[in-house]
Amino acid sequence: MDLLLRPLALAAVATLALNDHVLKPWLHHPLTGKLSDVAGCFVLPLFIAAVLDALGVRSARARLGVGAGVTLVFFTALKSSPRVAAGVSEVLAAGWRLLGEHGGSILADPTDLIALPAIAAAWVWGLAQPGASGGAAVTGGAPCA
Amino acid sequence: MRVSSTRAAGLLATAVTGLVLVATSPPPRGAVDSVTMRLDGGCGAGTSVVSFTDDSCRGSVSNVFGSATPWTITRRASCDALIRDETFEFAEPVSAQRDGGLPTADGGTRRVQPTDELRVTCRATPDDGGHAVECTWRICSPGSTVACVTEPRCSGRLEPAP
Repeated sequence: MDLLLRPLALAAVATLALNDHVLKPWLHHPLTGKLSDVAGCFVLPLFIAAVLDALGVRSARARLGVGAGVTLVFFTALKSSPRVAAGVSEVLAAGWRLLGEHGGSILADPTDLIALPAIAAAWVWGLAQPGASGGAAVTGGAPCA
Repeated sequence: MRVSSTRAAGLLATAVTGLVLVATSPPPRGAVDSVTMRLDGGCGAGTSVVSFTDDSCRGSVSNVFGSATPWTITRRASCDALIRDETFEFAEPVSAQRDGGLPTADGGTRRVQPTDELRVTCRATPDDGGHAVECTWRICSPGSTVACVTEPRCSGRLEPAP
């Protein structure tokens, strides 16, 4: 889980939040449309790996591999299939409605697949972090006392 | 069970990251309760503004065909689907006249009548995350798919109303 505490991961999460909630509605620029895709493709594998870590999966390589694989399949389907995009939009909109907001929409846009290399970047970067080459060492945290 | 500070921070970071990921695709600012779609080009400068002004998705289209009288429209779909493919149908009759008239089934034309409908079909073009929209305008006889006049295609984007 400590991968998400590394500066690059924190910067990616901050970029995702800032871009989605400030830059996109402010600038309306194609670059902002792609920036979230790149940041998301970098963050999602790390997030999935962190969840697997919390669930007790010991191998860092396995965690990152599953995270990258799931992200690859999910993002490709999301951006290639209008039906998948509509379904995910509905799920997210349901969450927004719980907060009293009307949700936005995710549109299938194959050009967003240009962000896919960020998944590989997350995988490579994650494995390169200290302690990530072994079993559970990627967590790096002190054992429970 | 005691948890190390590093692990606690990791759990917190995971939770925050999860929230950030779930909170992607936020609702457009000012959307639903106050959205103006500005159509720039093809419809005449400054003459085509579509506004959705409340949660029931009712709004008005003003001066699309040069009339000073705004038309009242009813959106049949939900506001949530604003930037998806949709067809808006105008519930109120069109009160404007249009040069060239409305084509009829026998090949002729007739003047636009107050009972005719004005329809606009909008399609999202996701060049910036889904805010760009292009629309096609038509005047049609009620219930008819034949007697329609296709208007120039317009493009615009969803913006918070001023």
